[in-house]
Amino acid sequence: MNISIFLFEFKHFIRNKAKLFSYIFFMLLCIYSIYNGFEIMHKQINTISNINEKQDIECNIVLDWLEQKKGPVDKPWVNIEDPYWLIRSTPSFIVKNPSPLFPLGIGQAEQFGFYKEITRWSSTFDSDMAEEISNYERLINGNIDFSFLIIFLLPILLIILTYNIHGLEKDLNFNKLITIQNKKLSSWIINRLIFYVLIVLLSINGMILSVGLITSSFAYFKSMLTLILISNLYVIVFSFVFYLIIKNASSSSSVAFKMISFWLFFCVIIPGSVHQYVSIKYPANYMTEFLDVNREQTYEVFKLDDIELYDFLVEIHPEIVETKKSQQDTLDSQLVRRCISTIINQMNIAAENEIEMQNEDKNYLIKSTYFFNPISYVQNLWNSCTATDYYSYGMYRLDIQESIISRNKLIVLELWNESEVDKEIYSRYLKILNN
Amino acid sequence: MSIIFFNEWKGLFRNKLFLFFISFFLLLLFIVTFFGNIQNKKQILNQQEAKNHIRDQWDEMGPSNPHSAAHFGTYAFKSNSILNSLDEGVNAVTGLVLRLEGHKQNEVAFSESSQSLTISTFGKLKVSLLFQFIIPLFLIFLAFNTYTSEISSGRLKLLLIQGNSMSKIIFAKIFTLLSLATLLLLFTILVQFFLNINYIKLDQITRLVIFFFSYFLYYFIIISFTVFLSLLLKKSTSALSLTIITWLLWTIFIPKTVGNFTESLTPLSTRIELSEKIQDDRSKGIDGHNPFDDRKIELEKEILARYEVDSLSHLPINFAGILMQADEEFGNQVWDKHYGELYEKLETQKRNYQLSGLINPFASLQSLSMASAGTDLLHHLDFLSHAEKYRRYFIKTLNDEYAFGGSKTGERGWKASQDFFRSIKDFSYNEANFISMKNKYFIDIFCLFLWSLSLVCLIIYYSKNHPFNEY
Amino acid sequence: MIQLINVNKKFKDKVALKNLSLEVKSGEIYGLLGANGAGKSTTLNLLLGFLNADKGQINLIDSNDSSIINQDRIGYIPENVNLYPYLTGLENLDYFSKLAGLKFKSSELREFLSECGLEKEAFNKYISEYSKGMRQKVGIAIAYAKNAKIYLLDEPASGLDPLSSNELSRMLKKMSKRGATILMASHDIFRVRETCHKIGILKNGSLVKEMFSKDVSPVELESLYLDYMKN
Repeated sequence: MNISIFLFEFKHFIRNKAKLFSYIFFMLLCIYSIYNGFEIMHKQINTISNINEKQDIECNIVLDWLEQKKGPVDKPWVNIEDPYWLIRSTPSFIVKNPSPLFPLGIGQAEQFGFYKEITRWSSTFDSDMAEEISNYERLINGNIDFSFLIIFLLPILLIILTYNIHGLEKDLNFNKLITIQNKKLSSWIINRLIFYVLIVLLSINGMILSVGLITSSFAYFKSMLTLILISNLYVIVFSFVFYLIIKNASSSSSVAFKMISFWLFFCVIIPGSVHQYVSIKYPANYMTEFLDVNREQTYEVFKLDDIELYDFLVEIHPEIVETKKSQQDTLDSQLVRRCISTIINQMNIAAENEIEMQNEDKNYLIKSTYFFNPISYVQNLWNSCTATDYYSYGMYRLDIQESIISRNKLIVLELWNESEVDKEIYSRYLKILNN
Repeated sequence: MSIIFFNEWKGLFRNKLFLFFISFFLLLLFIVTFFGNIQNKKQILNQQEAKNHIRDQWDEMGPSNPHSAAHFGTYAFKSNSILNSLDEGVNAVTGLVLRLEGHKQNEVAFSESSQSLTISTFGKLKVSLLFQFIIPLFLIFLAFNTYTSEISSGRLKLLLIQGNSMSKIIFAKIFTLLSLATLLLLFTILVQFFLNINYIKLDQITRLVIFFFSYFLYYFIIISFTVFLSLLLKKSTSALSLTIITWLLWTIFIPKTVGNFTESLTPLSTRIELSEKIQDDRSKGIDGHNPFDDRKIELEKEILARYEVDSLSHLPINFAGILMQADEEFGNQVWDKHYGELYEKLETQKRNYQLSGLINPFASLQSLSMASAGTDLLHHLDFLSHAEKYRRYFIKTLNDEYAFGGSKTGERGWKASQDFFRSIKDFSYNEANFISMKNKYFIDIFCLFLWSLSLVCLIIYYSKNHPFNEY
Repeated sequence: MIQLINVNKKFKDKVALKNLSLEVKSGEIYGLLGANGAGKSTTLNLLLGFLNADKGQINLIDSNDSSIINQDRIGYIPENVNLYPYLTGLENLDYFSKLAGLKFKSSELREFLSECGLEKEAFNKYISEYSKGMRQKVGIAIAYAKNAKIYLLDEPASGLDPLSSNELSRMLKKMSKRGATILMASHDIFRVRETCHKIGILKNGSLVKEMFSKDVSPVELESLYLDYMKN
């Protein structure tokens, strides 16, 4: 490495106003994007803490009722000592806490909801699972997101910083002088290129580490390291391609044209084509299987007689066979009907799995294009590090599903075991309901 | 001017690289328009299938209690129109399915973008993606040195000495590139037109005309702006750097920043806040006035007086249906209040965003492009309000049947006939007519014209004041 | 010393050089005259190592010890010395010297520029503010700083005013007196006659005439050149 060329590049850099401005502007954008990420993260954290507060207040109200052995005044039919009413009256929310690395990548976070009130009738595809209320036109334009800046704008910054290396000399017709002064043209280009690669890498690595420091997310050290690794490799790969373009430069504008074409091809045209292809192969899902469960099949279940319902219940929770209530000669119709949500939930799970599988087929197709569509790969890898990709929200849906199952199971077992409720048992309920 | 114009075209046609790119773009536009149509039609077909499936279930429901049927509910599917394939707009992020049922208004769910991993940040390879992101760049690269190359080659002096004015020379060059962009635009619009010739009506023609003119003006702006910068900076590379930076600002940075800014100017409630407010108003009465129990007592009195009986059991009708409809109507008022506010806020945000067209013509283009394809926020809100209107008709029909269809108060198990359910009209949504919404896009059209005129003035001014001895 | 022996170069079907032989001794300034396309630039590009000859021999030899001169001892001054416009004359010289692996103190760099006739006030001005003649001087300083044994100049006087042109001639003569071998390709008959010791006329890739400048007057040289060009 020729240190002189490398160090001299600093002069080239600061004397070129467009380059200097672009670099400072990009870094300011990065800082703004991180700030913006923090804003969204704090908004989510605040919403979540409000929810938790609300939940605590409502649980305390229920606790008061329990102490006074009297339900809500406006609903005199509610017998709070009955596990059925007690569980029904106890709210529980499942939330998706943002990862501490959230400011580094909002990813798909704005496409999904991040909190959900769980009732025994809930499902993972309820309409309140849709994204938070927001302006759709803003959503399509997206946020100034750090990952967006790194994946899509950083290559453009590199283009602005490097497009006239070797091109300017050709434009001004003193490229021969460069060649005659310097034996290896390639090492001259590499030295100049490395200067820009290094300032870019140092800046972005510094920012990623700063976010780690601010959010004390060193517990997520591996993810943070992966982010650094992805961004650095990404910059290096782009720089390598740009090196090849620069080496064969005929003028700075032709270099800029080739670089931008490369960027457009990989960052816009290929992902756009894959997206179009995927949506032709797997058009947006109207989720009719799920709608059927929600509507017709639920309707059909309500029409079933008690014995049929009981059989379904036993299939889901065989342990109820051993209970006293099961041993009785006649089935307690009210008891059976109070447990219908468990059966519906089971049907919901089957329909949801079907949808998840259809989505997974789509994802499989997307993943199979990664070898020629590396930008989508980088994007999804990045989102997975900041826990904002489809699968992170898939995990969140699983948490919700677990909670719905727990709630329904609790109702079934407590009702069939004819449990009596007191404060201690209620605290056990709370533990189960809140995972 | 025409001589320079035709000479420029001759030059372009003798440039092999140019011919390659123009053929590439024509082919790409054809493919993209063609596959865009296939995808759109497939989506329309799928949606029709889902719609039929849901309707069949409704028709096969058999005799049922109307209130249960209100819970059974129905679904409104967000429809795709034939021009959606030009610009997907907000369709990828809005939900597709809206459950319509009694007692509550749901949100439209299951957006396409929530159904898979991320694929592309700039959207599907649609005509709008090419026209908004790629072709402007191509034009920038063609335009950035049209003027400076004339100076460096010394041709400018020759052209001037032959009696051409500087502004004539510059505009001839601008119109050459603009005619090239027009060719691409017209080609795409014709392909779109012929692929859908059986479905095209007057409204679609209006929309295609708006689509054409918005891009035409935007291309004029982008070409003139690039040429203006090279006129100002006199160096082609500086002009190129600055135009690319401006392109980035216009297409990526300003839309995102202004989007965030307009949202912070008119903040929206979170879903949980909104649902709490709605719940409160429904149970305690709007703003605490007229709670449910009071309303119920009043209604009971009114109905008893109307039918001149002294107890509900003596009514010839089913009071439960009336009560439910009254509650429904109250719920509608609550919904109108809160969602009315929300939609108003969204429209304010949209208006504020449109104002950014004054500093960013891309914002105006984007808005008009989505509007002409029928995929912007305003069209989506129009769909939502039609769906809600239908929900009200649907629930009222069921409640009225429950109240006046033959049952009496207390007859919970009463069932309406299958024919009655079959007689309820299905939800059908016809996209709003563009002309009826034209006022909402006035700002966009104004901004594009303002930019164009300003650039014409600037170019004329700088051409006149350009000291000759600098060359 | 520059030596070309029966050098041939073809570009596809076009013959650029045909059996070209010429020799420029140490301390000699050789002017290569010729019309556009005569092969002047090809000859320079071959000497610079940018092109390889199809046939023939090219020798760049140090007369002191008969060693072969490497690229790092060749100075090149293009027609337009368009250096980095946003660097000063001094910085440009520093940069190009460093490219050649040479490190000089600021005082030494100033010395080189002074030697090449650049006024002190101009040292710290940006190249964008320089006249063509001033840029030419920096170009020569770049070659001088690397202690070039051979100077290759491509149309060095083109576009220079008479004063700058005259200064250039003086400068080249000064270099030749220090033992530099100088080859300049040009159209400028008068300048070549004034500056060079020896003159060659190149036509269609072949050397059609060689003479010492002292043997011809400018008028004679012009009529000789025109005769060769016409026939």
